[in-house]
Amino acid sequence: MRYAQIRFEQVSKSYKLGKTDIPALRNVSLEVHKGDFLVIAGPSGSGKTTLLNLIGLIDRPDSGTITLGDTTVSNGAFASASALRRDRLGYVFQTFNLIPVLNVYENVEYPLILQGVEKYRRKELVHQMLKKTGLYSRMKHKPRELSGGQRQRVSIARAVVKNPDIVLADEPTANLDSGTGKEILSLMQELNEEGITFVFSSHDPVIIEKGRRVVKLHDGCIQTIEEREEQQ
Amino acid sequence: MTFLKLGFRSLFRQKRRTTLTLVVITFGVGCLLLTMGHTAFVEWGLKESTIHSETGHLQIFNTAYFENEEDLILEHGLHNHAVIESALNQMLDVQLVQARTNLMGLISNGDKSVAFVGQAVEPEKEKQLRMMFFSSGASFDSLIAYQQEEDCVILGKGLAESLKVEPGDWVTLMTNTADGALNAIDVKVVDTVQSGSSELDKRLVRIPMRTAGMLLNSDKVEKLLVTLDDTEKTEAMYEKITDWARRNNYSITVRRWYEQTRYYHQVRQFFFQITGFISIILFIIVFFSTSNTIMMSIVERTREIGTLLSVGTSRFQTIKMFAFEGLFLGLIGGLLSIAFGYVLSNGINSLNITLPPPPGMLNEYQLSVRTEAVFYIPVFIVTVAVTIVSSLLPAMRVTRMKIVDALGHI
Repeated sequence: MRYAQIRFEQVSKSYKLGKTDIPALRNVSLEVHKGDFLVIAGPSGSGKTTLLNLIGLIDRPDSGTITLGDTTVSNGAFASASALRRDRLGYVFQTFNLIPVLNVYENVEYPLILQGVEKYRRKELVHQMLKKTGLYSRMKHKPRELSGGQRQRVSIARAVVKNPDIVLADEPTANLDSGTGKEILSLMQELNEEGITFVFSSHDPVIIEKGRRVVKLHDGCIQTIEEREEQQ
Repeated sequence: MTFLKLGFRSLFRQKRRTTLTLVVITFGVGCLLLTMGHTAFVEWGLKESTIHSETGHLQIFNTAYFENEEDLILEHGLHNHAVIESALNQMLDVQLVQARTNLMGLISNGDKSVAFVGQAVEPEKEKQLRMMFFSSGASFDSLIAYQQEEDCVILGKGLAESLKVEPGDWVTLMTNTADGALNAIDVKVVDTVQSGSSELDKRLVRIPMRTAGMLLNSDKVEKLLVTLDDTEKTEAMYEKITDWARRNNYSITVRRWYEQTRYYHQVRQFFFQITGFISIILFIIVFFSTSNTIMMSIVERTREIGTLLSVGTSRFQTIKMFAFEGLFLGLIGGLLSIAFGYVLSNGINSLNITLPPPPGMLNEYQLSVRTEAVFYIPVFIVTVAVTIVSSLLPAMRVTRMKIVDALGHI
């Protein structure tokens, strides 16, 4: 039996548009396992981003239970969400979302500072991560001095450096050309092989193909969950 | 440290806006320093001129003077003033000891009699007292020259005009003596004087102590004025003289200059209110200017705030980051204000600008601005505090911000 790092049970979420409730997710139950390379696929408006936001504890469900490891974080118990995001979750954004006033090194170091990691250890971890993502020679550069692909690498390095339980990526290749997108995907696969769990959303069939598990959403419901272990 | 760094670097994202805010702070607070500097100069000038013309640093009275109402003039005067004066003159830091007696009565030119307010003085010492603070003391020269030859007085210019007398004319002073009898004496007007207050000049008579002694039929004096080489030594000398009197069983009471001048305190209070009002207005401008800058910064960086929160930054840490931004605005703005205020103040001082006399006064005075840490430091601290508070208020928006909405902000 595989260990579930995150478990969704009958989770629903809707948004208000004026006085109308627009359902984004309906009674979704899902488990993310350690080492997963899970793709959330589906057309626009199917609930991919909402599901990622809920997994990432940056949004609250209307009903249902979310369990991260042994911690149940739904039902209003979001007070500790900030610490959970800091210690156990990593984020990669479609638009990179790097802090413009910090250089590459400082951007990657930032989550470790939040965790209170000692300076010498931070340096060690950041250098290691920058070498792994091919950014070592760019560590003094500001985000505006980097290409899109390099920025996304920094974003991945920032998410992975703290060794989180799960790295979440919302359409990580959407703002990149196809070649750079493939490079980013390869990097994520490499890191996944080292044991990092990835959950990412995409509607690009080429990207979806690479997922080891693919959750297909349609109108806020899980349509299918495909296991593709053989692709490894 | 990271949030300090983030706060500091964020200042330079919108250089034009930050510069504009700093200009507002610098100009506003710099002008406030200028106002305070000039007020401080006027207060200092008033204090020193009050001491060096009216009160001295310390005044010595017979203790009974404050305990019992006088039925007769000089009833509770100092009879042993010569001994006390001699002892005080031996003390280090004492520059001058002089006697004074205030008296009232009628002055007449033969045709017209009016009430006068008299100051019995030692003319040489009065001149010396004034010369200690940028004054020639020349108004006492005539008394000094004539007092040995004949009984003489100086009249206030307004009083001389009222009596239609000029230097060289004779007038009669009438008053009660120390033993209750009525006495009169003819005195020669040797000069007229402008004291600085036109109201006082309509009643003022300055009379040498020797002549006053004859008029009052007493060798007592009302008080002794003690003038020191430095106003800062007032408290120490107060203690010293009080202690000396106790040890020698002299029944005297020592009063400090600020206990004897109501006018100085009224003027000071008036300046305090004006400066306070200007300060409030300027700091409100600084408050809104900084607040606006931080508010714009928060709106522009909403997505970044969402990112910071999503990677685990607490809301408190995010607010702290904006408070640091305000802190740096305050520190830079405060330092620039001090530099601006200092340069401007010295620039104005070097121009030697003369201002017309204030209401009720007769003499022009030089525009001068003081630059003192005693108000520069508090103003700097208040500037920093205002910018921190003004950045905290908009930063509180972060506590209400939904991360999902912030990340989706365009």
